Amino acid sequence: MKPLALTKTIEAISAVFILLFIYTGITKLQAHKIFLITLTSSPLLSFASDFLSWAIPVVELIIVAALFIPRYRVTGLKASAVLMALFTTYIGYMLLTASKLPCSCGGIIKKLSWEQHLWLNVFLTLLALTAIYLQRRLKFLLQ
Amino acid sequence: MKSFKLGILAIVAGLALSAFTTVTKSQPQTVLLDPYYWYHVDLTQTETDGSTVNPSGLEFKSTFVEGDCMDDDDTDICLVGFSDPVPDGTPIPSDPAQIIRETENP
Repeated sequence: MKPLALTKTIEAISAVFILLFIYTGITKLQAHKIFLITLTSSPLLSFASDFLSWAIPVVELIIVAALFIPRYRVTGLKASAVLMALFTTYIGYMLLTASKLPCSCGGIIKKLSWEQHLWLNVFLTLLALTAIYLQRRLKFLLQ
Repeated sequence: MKSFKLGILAIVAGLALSAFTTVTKSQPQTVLLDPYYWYHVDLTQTETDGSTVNPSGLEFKSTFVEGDCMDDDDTDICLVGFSDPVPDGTPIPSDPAQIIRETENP
């Protein structure tokens, strides 16, 4: 793959995560009470529901800023991969262990079932990892 | 500037999407989003029967609609919800937002 094509691909993947995290971060902040109650009803996260109800959307918006600025894009992609991996692990754990699954997150994504949400998160985690790999390829080619 | 174009587009699209899916306070659907403590109903369909099915905390109506109500011919009301825990035998509320009927299940 040529350097220009690599750059464009990485930018496109970064744009996907910017769109995703802007949307999910803002909707979580707009419906903060509902998000807090959802976290409180989660057996795994209820102990830190108050902190997480603010931390998660704030982290998402910080990642947006990192992805937007080319200098910090790689950091943003790594953070995206970590966050998506954590979300995927949480959903996987809930599907395996919870007898009753609480309401999903807000907006368009809540129309997905928990299984669909899991597959979406797996895809997004792999997408972030792909972008990190391509960035390393680009760095190697430009040396 | 070129490297910011896609990013700006993504930010604008994300903001537009989040604005589109926001539930405003003026919409009546926000009432249905309130979580409750849910209770089974006795055979007379007038009072609660037993303790709450979600003692660990408030839960939304959507949590129960798909799973907990068996469709039998004897009863219609499956679960009723209250903002606070209530004792056994509490009269059921009249607000539809606080009632889950068996006919609501898929």
